[in-house]
Amino acid sequence: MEFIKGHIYGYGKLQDIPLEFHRGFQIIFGLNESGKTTLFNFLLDILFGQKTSHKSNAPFTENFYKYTPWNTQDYRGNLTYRLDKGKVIHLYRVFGQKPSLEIYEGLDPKEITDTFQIYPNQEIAFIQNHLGINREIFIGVATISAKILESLGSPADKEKIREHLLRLADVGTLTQSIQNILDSLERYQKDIGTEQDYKHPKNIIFKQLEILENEYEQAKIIVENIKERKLQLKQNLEQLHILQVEFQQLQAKLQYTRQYAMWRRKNDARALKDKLDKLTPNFFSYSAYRDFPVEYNSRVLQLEMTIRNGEYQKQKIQNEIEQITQEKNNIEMQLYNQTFVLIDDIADCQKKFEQFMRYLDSNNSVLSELYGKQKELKKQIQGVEQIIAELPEPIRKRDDFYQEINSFINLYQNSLEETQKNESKLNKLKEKQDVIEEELKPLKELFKDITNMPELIDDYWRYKNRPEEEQRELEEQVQDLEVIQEHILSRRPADIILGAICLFIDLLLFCLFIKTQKMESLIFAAVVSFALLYFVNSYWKGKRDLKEIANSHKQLQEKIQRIVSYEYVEKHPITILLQKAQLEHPRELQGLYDNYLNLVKVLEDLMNQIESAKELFIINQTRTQHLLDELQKLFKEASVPLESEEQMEQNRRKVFNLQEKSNEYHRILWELKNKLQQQTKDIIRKEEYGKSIQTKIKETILDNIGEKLIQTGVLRPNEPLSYETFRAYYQAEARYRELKTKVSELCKRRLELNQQLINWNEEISEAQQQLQEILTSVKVNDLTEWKTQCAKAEEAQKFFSHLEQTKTQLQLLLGDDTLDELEQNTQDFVPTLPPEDESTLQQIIEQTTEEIEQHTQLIQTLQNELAELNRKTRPLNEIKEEKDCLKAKWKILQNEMESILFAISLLQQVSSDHYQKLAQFLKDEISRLFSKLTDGKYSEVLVENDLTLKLNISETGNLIPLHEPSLRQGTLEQLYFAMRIAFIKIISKFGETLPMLLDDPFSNYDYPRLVQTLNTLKSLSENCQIILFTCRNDILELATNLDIPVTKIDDSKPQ
Amino acid sequence: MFIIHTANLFLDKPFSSFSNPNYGRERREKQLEVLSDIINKVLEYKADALLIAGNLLDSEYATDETLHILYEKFKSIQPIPIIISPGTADPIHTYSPYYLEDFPENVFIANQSNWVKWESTEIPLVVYTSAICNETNNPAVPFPDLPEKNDGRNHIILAHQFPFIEECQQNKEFARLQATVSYVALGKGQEYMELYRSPQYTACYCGFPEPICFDNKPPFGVLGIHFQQHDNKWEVSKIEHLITQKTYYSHIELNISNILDRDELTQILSNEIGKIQKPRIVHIQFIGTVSANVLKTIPSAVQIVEKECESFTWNIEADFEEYMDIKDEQQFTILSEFFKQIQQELKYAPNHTIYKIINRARHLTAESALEIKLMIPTIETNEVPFQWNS
Repeated sequence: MEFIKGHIYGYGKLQDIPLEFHRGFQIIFGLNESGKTTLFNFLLDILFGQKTSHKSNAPFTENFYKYTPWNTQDYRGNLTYRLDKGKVIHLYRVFGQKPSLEIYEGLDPKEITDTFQIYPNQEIAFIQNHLGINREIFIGVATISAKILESLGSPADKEKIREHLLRLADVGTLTQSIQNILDSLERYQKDIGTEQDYKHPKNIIFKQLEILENEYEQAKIIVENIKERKLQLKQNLEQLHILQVEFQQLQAKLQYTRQYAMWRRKNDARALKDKLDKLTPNFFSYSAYRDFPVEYNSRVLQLEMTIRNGEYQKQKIQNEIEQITQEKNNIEMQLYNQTFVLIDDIADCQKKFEQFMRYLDSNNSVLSELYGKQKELKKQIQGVEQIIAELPEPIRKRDDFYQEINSFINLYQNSLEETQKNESKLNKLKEKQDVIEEELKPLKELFKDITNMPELIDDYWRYKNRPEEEQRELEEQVQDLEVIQEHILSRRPADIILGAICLFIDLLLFCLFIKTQKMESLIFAAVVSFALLYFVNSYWKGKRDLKEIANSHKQLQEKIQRIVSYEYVEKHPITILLQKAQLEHPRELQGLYDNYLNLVKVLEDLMNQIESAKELFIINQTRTQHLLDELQKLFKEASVPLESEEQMEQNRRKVFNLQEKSNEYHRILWELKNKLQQQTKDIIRKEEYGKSIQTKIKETILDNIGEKLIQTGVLRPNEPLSYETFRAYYQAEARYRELKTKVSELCKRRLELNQQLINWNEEISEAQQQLQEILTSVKVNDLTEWKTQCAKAEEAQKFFSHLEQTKTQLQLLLGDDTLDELEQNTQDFVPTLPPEDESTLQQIIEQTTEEIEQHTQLIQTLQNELAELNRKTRPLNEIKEEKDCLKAKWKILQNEMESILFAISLLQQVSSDHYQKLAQFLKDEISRLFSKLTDGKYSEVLVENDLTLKLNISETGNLIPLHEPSLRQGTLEQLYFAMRIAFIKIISKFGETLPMLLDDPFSNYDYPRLVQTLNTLKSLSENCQIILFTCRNDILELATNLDIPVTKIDDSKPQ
Repeated sequence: MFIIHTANLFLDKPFSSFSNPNYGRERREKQLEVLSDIINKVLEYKADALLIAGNLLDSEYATDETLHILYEKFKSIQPIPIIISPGTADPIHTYSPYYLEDFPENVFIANQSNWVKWESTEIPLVVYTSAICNETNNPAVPFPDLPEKNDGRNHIILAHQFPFIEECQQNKEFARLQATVSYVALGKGQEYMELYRSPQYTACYCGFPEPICFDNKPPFGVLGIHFQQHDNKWEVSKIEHLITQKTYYSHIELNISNILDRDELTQILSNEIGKIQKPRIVHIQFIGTVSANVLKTIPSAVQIVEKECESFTWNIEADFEEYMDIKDEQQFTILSEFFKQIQQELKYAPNHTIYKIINRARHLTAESALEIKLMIPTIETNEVPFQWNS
């Protein structure tokens, strides 16, 4: 699309201004406040209208009020533009409260207004058909302001190109980006938070929900408990009711039982009364025996028995006393006939004796054991001494013999090892020497006369590669020599003449001196002599130099000749060497020579090493032999002669074993001897101890009781004490004591029997007295009469007792009632059922009452529990409401999170895909434009998938990022414009190539930058129409120079 | 003879609201007021009996206080008999309040799933009823044991739901019923409905005396059944619907495409809400195409009007003019491509929940693009089975 022309009839301050647009780049110039921005907005308004939205009641935009014409009522304008396909469109728009738009097409205009859809706000939807974008995107894509460009080159804003590109690709304007949207969504996501966050909605609700869930569960349990309690309460109430009914039934039963009992009592009382009436007539016949003491009857019978028993016992005791007296007399006779002497401390003596005997026994057993051991030890010592005597003398006598021999062996082995090492090292070095010598032999032959190979090679190269130069150099040298020769030759006559003059003057001065004897003459003569000498010397030096020059000249001539004839190279030692070595290149020869030198050096080193290794070997060999001799001597002493070196280790082991054996047996011998000595001491001590015990027995026991024992007859004189002596004594004592005891027992028994006899006599007399008292009291003469009267009295007693019992029964039965009363009370009672046991009934009633009380208590407890449970919790429905509300909130948050994640992922996916597609196209388009703008300095602009731009420098092929410090502001600006034009090209794929409107963006540019920018825009304008609105005069001048069409506007007339 | 038939009071049912923390308590008090209203109607119309066809209580949440009120209310109309057939919300089981609590003598509660017969000693009325027991309602026999011939008494069946009620066979099944029955009182349906009518008898769902959720359909009240006797046979002469409704629900879809500012939006909201009878529970869904400027004013506008409602919730389903209304424009930007793709996602969303999530993603992106502060959305009252909560 490109603007062709237009006309402003009235728009802001602009009035009746025709507009003419050119293809490509053009400038619309106007001074400040001349209406550039007005024109800029006119173009937007005529395309997009002045409504804020497409709604029917959409209000006017700010522009509507701002650009109402100042000096006219004619608020309208027209615009002609050409679409990419060539269609020419004419717009005739009237602004104002009743806006209208007419659209025509073609060079021969034909109205097409009706062909477009009309929005609810009455705006014709032509622009969507032509451009496919709205006003905001048009501004974003097709306009550039000063603000956008002002910080483009600053180091901090180098990413702005990419940022603008991203924003245009994201939303089509520079005000928003996908990244901003993503950031906003992520912020929102963070605001909602997670369960783990702190004080975020999600976490708060999660916590509250948890608390409520717990409360709800607890409340539910409580409600269940309440229901359970209620059920129990109901069941208990029912049971209570049953029990209460049961209780009433039991009460009725009890009443019946009581009535029945009263009825029975009445009947029983009647029967007793009849019985009492029958007993009354016999009362007087039994009244005579009523006071007889029947109760004494048993006492009388008891006393009679006592008297009889006492008489019998008395007789029995007297017989026994006689027997005891007889037996006692017999035993006393036996005691009189015995010879026993009582020893009071016999027990102590026996204890002491036994103790002494125990000591003696244990001492004897130890002693015998010691004797045995002593004998055995002596035998062992003899055996060990025999073994030691069989060992070799040095081993037997010296305990460090093995150590000495061992150290010698170690020294010998080390020395031998060292010698062998030295030998092998020497051999290796020799072998190495042979190898190197072999290797060195042809090289030695080859390089035998060569001393300085590098110089030779340099020389060879010089003549080989640059013979002409060399020849020229030599010829120059020859020429130089000739010049010097000539110079010398030219100086020679002067030297001769001047020398002759000096000689002459000298002679004259000598003559003058001789004549005048003046010293001055002599001094002058000396000075002249010096001059003479100088000239003579100069002459001779010249002569010598000439000779040398002649030689050099000759040599140089020869060299030249050789170079000319190539003889020099052919006969050059290097050539010869190459031929000899069959090499092609002197570099190879150099390598070979280096190798030769290296080998020579290595060989020298090797020789030195061999020499030192030889010396070391000889020293070690001598030392080893000496050590071997010493060892043989030592082994011989130890009776293990060393016949060969192989035996050495074996011999060493033998010596070691012998030494070990010797040490071991010496140690054993020493220990055995010690033991024997100790034992001998022990034996002596024990023997002395046994003797002392014997002495003690004699002193403490035998001297004390020996005499008495002999008298008793259990020990013979001079007979030693023994256990048998004591046993015999104890037997005698036992017999004696037994008899004594028996006598005392018999005496005691006799006394007891006498006492019993007295007691029985007393008891019999007492019983007789009591019996007599009883009989006298009832005036009975004897026991027979007593028994007769007593039988009659017992019969009377039974009668009276029965009578009293019957009376009591009747009294008990009636209680406080009378028989008449009972008869009256039970008058109406008719027994129907057998009565139940009243106490059982009472018991059941008590049980029932208890149960009722229990149930009542249980009910009370349950009611209290229910009240308590009800107090414990809030109503379940209230908790559920809160919980449901929180759950709903939770669900909302969950859904919100999912929505956020969905939005983020889709945005990322879409942007990634879109950037990728865009990148390729942008790369081609920007590269093309930018390369052209920079005259091929940058061959390519690489656009990566994230729309990062990199510049490819044609010269080096290097890719440089935009933040590269070397990139100048001008380059970046060129790139920016190229990017914007490329973007317009992208949009053209969807619709039209938009014109680019630049709203005075270069206000701060300096002159060179401005020139470059205008050139850039001019170059880019081949691709689209670019209109620059500006107020800078220098741009106007530049435009003339750069051949850019300019349109001037002012308040009144356009030019 | 005049009998009142009701059901579905759901006393003590929890009601949650996002916006009003006292909402549940208020609603439960309202339900008790409805009960009082029904009791008054029994007295006012001098009804011979009150039939309750289930769901008198939400027994899981029934409180002692409510049961005490219930006791007092029922006692106050003694000796008018009240026959209760427990429903799905208050089934008979060991811990059922009908079993655990005491009821006045004039209350008869069916306590088994098999048919039980209640006969009045005062009036010629016989009610055959059954209960939902442990959430099953399958009496051993489909019909109660009805008399073969008319005996001069009015025979009524009372149940929360009839086991044979399946829509396709309902007329056929009803036709099988003995002609001696005069009325079948049922409680399970979502609205008042005459299920079957024949010269012999009528079967009705009584509906809800007070709306419980948006699924319940008006009219809300109880049924007053007038009976007449002809030739020893009782018949329904008239069914009267007696209004008891206390709360008015409304779910408004408000198109705000033409709204330009907050004042206008507030005015329209007030007008819309004013149309609903008080006390009201309102959910507003904003639809249409709205600009960012108007969108920003919605929270403050609803704050003004929500005070006039018992419970007020809202959500935005509108498209945003700036980004989401993109049908006319070429889609070369990433954002337009995003909205295009999200439109496709919405089209093929597998269920409503996902649809809502995608749509919300679309809204959040548009709001972010317009630099509107993102806010956690509000939700509807919990008892409203709006798909968002499904």
